[in-house]
Amino acid sequence: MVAAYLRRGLAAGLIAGLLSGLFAFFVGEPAMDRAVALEEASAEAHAGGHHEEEIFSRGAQKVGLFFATGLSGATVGGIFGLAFAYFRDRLTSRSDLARSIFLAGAVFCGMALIPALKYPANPPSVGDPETIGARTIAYFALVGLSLLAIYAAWQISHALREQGMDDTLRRLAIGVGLVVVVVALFLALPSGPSAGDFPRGLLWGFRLAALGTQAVMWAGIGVLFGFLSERANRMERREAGHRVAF
Amino acid sequence: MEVIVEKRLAQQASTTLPVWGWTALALLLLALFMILSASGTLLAPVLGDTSGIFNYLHEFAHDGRHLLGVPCH
Repeated sequence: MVAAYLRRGLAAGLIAGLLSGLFAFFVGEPAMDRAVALEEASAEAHAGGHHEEEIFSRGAQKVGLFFATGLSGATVGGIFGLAFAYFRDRLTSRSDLARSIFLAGAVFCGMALIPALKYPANPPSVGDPETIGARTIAYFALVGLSLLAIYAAWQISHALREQGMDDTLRRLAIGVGLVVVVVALFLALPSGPSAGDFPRGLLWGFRLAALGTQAVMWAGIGVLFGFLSERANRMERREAGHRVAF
Repeated sequence: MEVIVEKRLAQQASTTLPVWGWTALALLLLALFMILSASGTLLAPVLGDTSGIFNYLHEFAHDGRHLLGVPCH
């Protein structure tokens, strides 16, 4: 059973990843091209007209965009499938489609939305290459801790409902508690890199496009995985019906 | 009484991940790190000179990494 969820997650993730690549190509790449042009202009000014040779052309990197979003979609989709196998009996939603969309929404908040408030995506040339190690560790620490905070909120909400707490009061308490924990995380972790004199409009356009790319990926995983699960359930029911008939 | 039976059923029905599931999870996380973050500069302190090959992966996946919000360089 777990293997079926894993396979479904890999498939849904690959398609959702390619869809998010399509969004990134049309919405994100124009800002990306302008950022790369700015980077090259400033590098040329510093190196006195000397042009640095790139390993891949911009065209090849745009093919690489689909490679990166497609493969990371498939891997996070696979992880989503395993998580779904674990959470399926523990989520109270009525259908697998509703469960899948709920779980994908929770993961999107923990993996993309909350981290983006503290460490929003940066275009090329923002951030000192010397500090990439520390920035990568801080970023993944925030992703892990945000996911953990959402998991804890869900667990506590479950326990409070079992105790018969009023629904409105419970949701309010969980919401306030989650905000307090997230603010504490933001204060505890080191601040992100300065954007320097990078044009502000271009910077925020790029950041919104990056958040949109992740939103498309998680919406895609939630909906596609849900539909694949519903289809598998229907086929199982039909087979069970045949067995009864014969 | 009904509530107790329901709770017991729910506990029995809960799936736990088999050992291979945890192994798959670890491999998928490693793959995700390779696609999103591995680069020569990042891995040089761990792998030394051989980390240079990851620069090709870094440059090819460059646009995707930036647009998926991961620190790239």
